Formats: sequence, structure tokens, C-alpha cells
Amino acid sequence: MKKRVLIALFLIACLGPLLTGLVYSVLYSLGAIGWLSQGITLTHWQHVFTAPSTYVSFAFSLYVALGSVTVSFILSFGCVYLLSRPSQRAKPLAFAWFIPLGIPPIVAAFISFLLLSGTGVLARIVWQAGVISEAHPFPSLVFDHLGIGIIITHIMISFPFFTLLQLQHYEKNQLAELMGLARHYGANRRQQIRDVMLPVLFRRSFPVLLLSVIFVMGSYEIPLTIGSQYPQMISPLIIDYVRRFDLQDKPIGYALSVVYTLVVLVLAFFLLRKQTLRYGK
Amino acid sequence: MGNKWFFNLLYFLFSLPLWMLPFFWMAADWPFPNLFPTTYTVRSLAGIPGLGQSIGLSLAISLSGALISTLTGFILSKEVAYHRHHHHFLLIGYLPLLLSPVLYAMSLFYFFIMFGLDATVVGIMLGQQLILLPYAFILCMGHWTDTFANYLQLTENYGANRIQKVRYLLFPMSKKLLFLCLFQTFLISWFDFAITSYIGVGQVKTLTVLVYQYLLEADYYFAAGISALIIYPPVLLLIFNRLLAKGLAFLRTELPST
Repeated sequence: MKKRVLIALFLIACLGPLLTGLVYSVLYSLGAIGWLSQGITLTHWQHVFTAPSTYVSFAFSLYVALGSVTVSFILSFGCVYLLSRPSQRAKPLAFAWFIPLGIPPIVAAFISFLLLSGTGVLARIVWQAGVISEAHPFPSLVFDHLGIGIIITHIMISFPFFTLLQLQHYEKNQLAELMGLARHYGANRRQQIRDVMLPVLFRRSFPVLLLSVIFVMGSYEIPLTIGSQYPQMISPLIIDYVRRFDLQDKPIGYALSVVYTLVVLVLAFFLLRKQTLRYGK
Repeated sequence: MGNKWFFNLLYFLFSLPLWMLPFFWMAADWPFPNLFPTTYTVRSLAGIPGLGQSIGLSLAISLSGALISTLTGFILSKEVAYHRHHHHFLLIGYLPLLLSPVLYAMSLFYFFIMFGLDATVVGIMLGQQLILLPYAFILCMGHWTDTFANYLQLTENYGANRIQKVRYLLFPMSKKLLFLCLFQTFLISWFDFAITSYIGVGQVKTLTVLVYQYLLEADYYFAAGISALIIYPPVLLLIFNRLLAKGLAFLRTELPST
């Protein structure tokens, strides 16, 4: 009996708010509820699917997420390769690797602003090096249309985490021994990396990489602080719609959030089902 | 040799926020081409209006949130982990974590208003539990192995009552996990801006909300000072945790060999 109550509590805690929020958003987007509701309509949904900003925002979010996760993975793979050399393996891992894990997104965005803005530290270094003589030739890497600042900030946060994760996989999968075995069979250094280290680390890190893509796609603080007005990432765009002075825009925001939620849930379902079923066994 | 330089540069970049933020906090004037500020000033933290209250609020919200989610997640995960459908429940536990927290808060905001919980500390604590509880649950799920179930069964066979089971088996064997879970949920809550700013409507001024407020006001010196206040406690806790793991062997939980 107690067990059933606790399981019910778990389901209520995890699924209850999720479904409630989803149903509320669907009803709001259909005009069934809300201050200016005039009955059920599909107008807001039509707007979501016909407005170019929807597609631009989804594509931009995906581009930022894939860009930052890919670069982070490549950088961390390189670091794991260097750290796995016999001369480095003997040393304990430096504490500095853990520092970026203690930085919240809003502070990371602020640090990026201080470093990468048109008059930031990087521009000053370039000026001191004599490359530029005024502030304006230096491209501002924050509030930019390409989302460079957002991508760099996400890399700053996630790259050390990926390195720690890959180092753990390196040890767990006994990659040093496997690469030694490949060497024994005549593989050169490049073949050991390409055919042994990369496939194992990529396969092991793949679920976390995909989850990271989902997390970055929905990130809010960093694009809010150093993102441009257009294109916007999906979370700031939705919040922008919902908080606009014109209340007619509010249902559009809810419709967009339903689309985003469904995309994430479907993606996650297929990804996690495989993983958790394996974990369950 | 090249590797050494590369890693030293990397470690320097990683530690940049730790010294850059307090440094910027002390800057009085920093005109463009200068790499370093031209004049410095000693700003008192007391000069930031409502800072003491913000620190207290952030601490209270994070500590209570971490305690509640860790305990609840620990208890719930134990029941769920030994259920025959545990892998489906694990999948369900992941779902709330995948959504953007601010959109999750947005979709439920109406209900917070309905119950008078918007712009209140209790509302924010409840809002954060939407994320903290599933996180603690997932973190604790891996703890409940078949071996652990056998130990539980064994203590029952030897006639241990519920209190003895908790005191002599559950707590000693789960101590590490509980500390880890407390620490991580504390961090998530301490770093949260999205849920706090949305449900708090900017009225509940935790440290992250204060940073954003000063950023909007373009008062970067104050924003740097508060940012330093946010990042130093977790980093110090990490150092403390590392020292603890290295030096204090009594916290290492192992079953006595028989």
C-alpha cells in the first residue's frame, strides 16, 4: 500500500505539472482560455506555422546547439588525447577543470560580455598588439546575428564537463590497454586514435551529447543576456511573445511552446527509451 | 613542453572568472584601449542595496530546496528502483529535466497566480522543485542495485527494525550519495535564474536576479561584485569537497569485510 502511494506521488510530481502545463498551453493557444479569448480558433497556430520567425528561431537554436556541442566535443577529445599521454597520466587532474562547473549561465554570459564585446578584453588585447587602432573595426562577438558569443559561452561551460566525462570513459573502457593492443598489432598513432579512441569515446558520450543539444536548444539566460534581437533562440522568443504589451500575441507564444515541448519530448523519448531500457537490464 | 604551455593557458582561462570578477569589481575607470583599469576604488559590498537580503534569500531557497529534493528523491527512488517497471519510471523522471525551465515555469504560471504563489519565496521554492526533485530522483536511482536489495533483505532476516535499518545500513551506505545529491541540487537552485525570475516576477531578488538587474542598468561593476559572490561559494565548496575526499577517510563508506 505504502509502495503504491509513493509511486503515485512520484508520478504526480513528475508527470502532473508537465501534463497540466501542456494542457493549459494547448487550451491557451487555441483561444479556449485567456483574457481576450473569443472562442476556439486555429488562427494562432496558423500564425506559428506561417511566420518565418518560427522556422528561423528553431533553425538558429539547432545551429547554436549543434555548433557548441560539436566544438566542445572536438576540444575535449583533443584534451583527453593529450591528458592520456603517459607523461600526463601520472599527474592528478588539475582542479581548474572543475571551476567552470561552478559558473551559472547568467554569470558566464556576463563574463563573455566582458571578454568579447566591442570594447571588451579581447578587443583591448588586439589593440595593444597593434592590429587595430580604433574600437569599431573589432567585430563585437556578443549580440551578433551569428550567435558566436552564445556558442562560445556554451563551449566555455560544457567543454570542461565533456573532458571530465570522456576521461571517465577513457578509464572505464580501458582505452590505454586497447590502444596498446592496437599498437601491438601494428597500428600507428593516427590509426589508434581514429579506429580505437574516437569510436569508443564518441559512442559512450553520444547520449550525453544528444541531451546537451536538447539542453542548449532550450537555453534561456545566455541568449537573453548576449543574444541578438533577430534571430532569437526559441526560449527568449516564446517569452518575448508571452510578455508583449499586445495580449493578442500571448496565445502565439503558448502555441510555440507546445511545438517546442512536443519536439523535445519526442526526441527525448526515442533517445532515452533505448538508454533506460538498456540501463533497466 | 608544448603540452605544458597549452594546459597552463587552459587552466589560466578556466580560472579567469575567479580573479577577473573581483578585479572588475574594484575598477573605477576603464577607458577603452587600456588593458587594465586606470583607477581603482574600494567598493563596499554594503553599498549594494538589499544585498544582505538577497544573500539570505538565495541561501534559504537553495538550502531548503536541496534538502527537500534530496530527501524526497532518495525515498521515492528507493520505491521506484525495485518496481518491475522501473525503467519506464526512469524515463518519466527524465522528462521534466529536458524542458527549458523558463518555459516550464511559464506554462504553469497561471496556477501560481491562482494560488497566490507568484512573486513569493514559497512559489519560487515550489517552482524549483519541478526540476530539483526529478534530478535528485535520477541521481539516486543508480544507487539501488540488486546487491543493496540483498543487504536490505539480510538486515530484515536478522531482525533489524526500521530505525536500525536506516541507522546501520541505509545512512552509512548512502552518505556519499546524499552529500553529492545535496551539493548538486544546492548548486542548481543557487544558479537558477529562469524559474526564479519568471515565478518571482523580478520581485524576489535572489543573487542571480540581482546580477541581471544590474546588467540591464549597465552597472557592470556591481554586476561583477555580485557575480563573484555567486561563483565563490560553490568553488570553495568544491575545494572543500576535494580536501574532504582526500583527507578524511572516515567519510568513505565501505561495508566491513566479514
